Amino acid sequence: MTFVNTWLPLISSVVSLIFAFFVLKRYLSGKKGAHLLLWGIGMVFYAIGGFCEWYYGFFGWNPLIYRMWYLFGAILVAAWLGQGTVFLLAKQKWAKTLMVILVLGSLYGTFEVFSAQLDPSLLTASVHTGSELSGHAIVTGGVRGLTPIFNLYGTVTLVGGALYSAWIFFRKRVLLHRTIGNILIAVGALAPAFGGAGSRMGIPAALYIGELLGAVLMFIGFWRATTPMAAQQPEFSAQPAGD
Amino acid sequence: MRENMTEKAEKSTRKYPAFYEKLVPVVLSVLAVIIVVVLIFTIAVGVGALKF
Repeated sequence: MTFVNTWLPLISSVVSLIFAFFVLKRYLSGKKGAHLLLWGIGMVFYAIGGFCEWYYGFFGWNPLIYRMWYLFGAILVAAWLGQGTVFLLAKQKWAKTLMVILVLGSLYGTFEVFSAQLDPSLLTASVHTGSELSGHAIVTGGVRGLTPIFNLYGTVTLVGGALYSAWIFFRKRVLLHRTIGNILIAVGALAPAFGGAGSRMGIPAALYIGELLGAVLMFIGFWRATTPMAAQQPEFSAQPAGD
Repeated sequence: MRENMTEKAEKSTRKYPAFYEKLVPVVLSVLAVIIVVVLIFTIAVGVGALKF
């Protein structure tokens, strides 16, 4: 039990919950939009993942916490956050179709994770993989194969969507705060992926730091994107054409 | 028509502060490269071409 594998995930969880609270408050206070609801749900998943990691750090794994961590923290979180971006940027017809697929996929994933067989000797996986957190304890075939599919969809939509939005605002030279906010969201969304990679390469702390950094940067990015910068609007020089 | 053309010319001269004019394209390019590498890596791991 160390500060890194107990308190860091707890702080990530709390930051995610606060983030979720503000996003859902915005959704409920008239700024309606499915993207806000989905980002709120995604950040609640992020918080559940962090809570499970905190529990593991203090008490070790038990099957329920382990399954919850794998489902919400490893499989669903990125895809649900990314689906919010899909609702923001894509045509509603496509967004709704993808939403139906995501809900069905999530239900299937929930069933698979909670009915999968676990190998208790692999629950503490660091001995076997160099990583404190991994899905190796799930020995039922096919379950872990879901993770890259969901994460690929989540990364493409969340990071890709944020970069696309930042580029559009930059190209038009409008709403600087949204350009900056979207860049921070993209960096924040990538941070846990790099943390996970570091963890797999034998640096367990990397995942916890990446997750905390991700939650904080996405929160700041969301706040920045939704708060205009009064003092730093784009400069406007009305030069005649041809000058 | 003339008003529209003037409007277009004016829009094209809109600029962010100099710091952001330089920084944003660099950061966006770096992030775009990173996400492409991450995606290729993830797909390679997913199809079993790379062990991780």
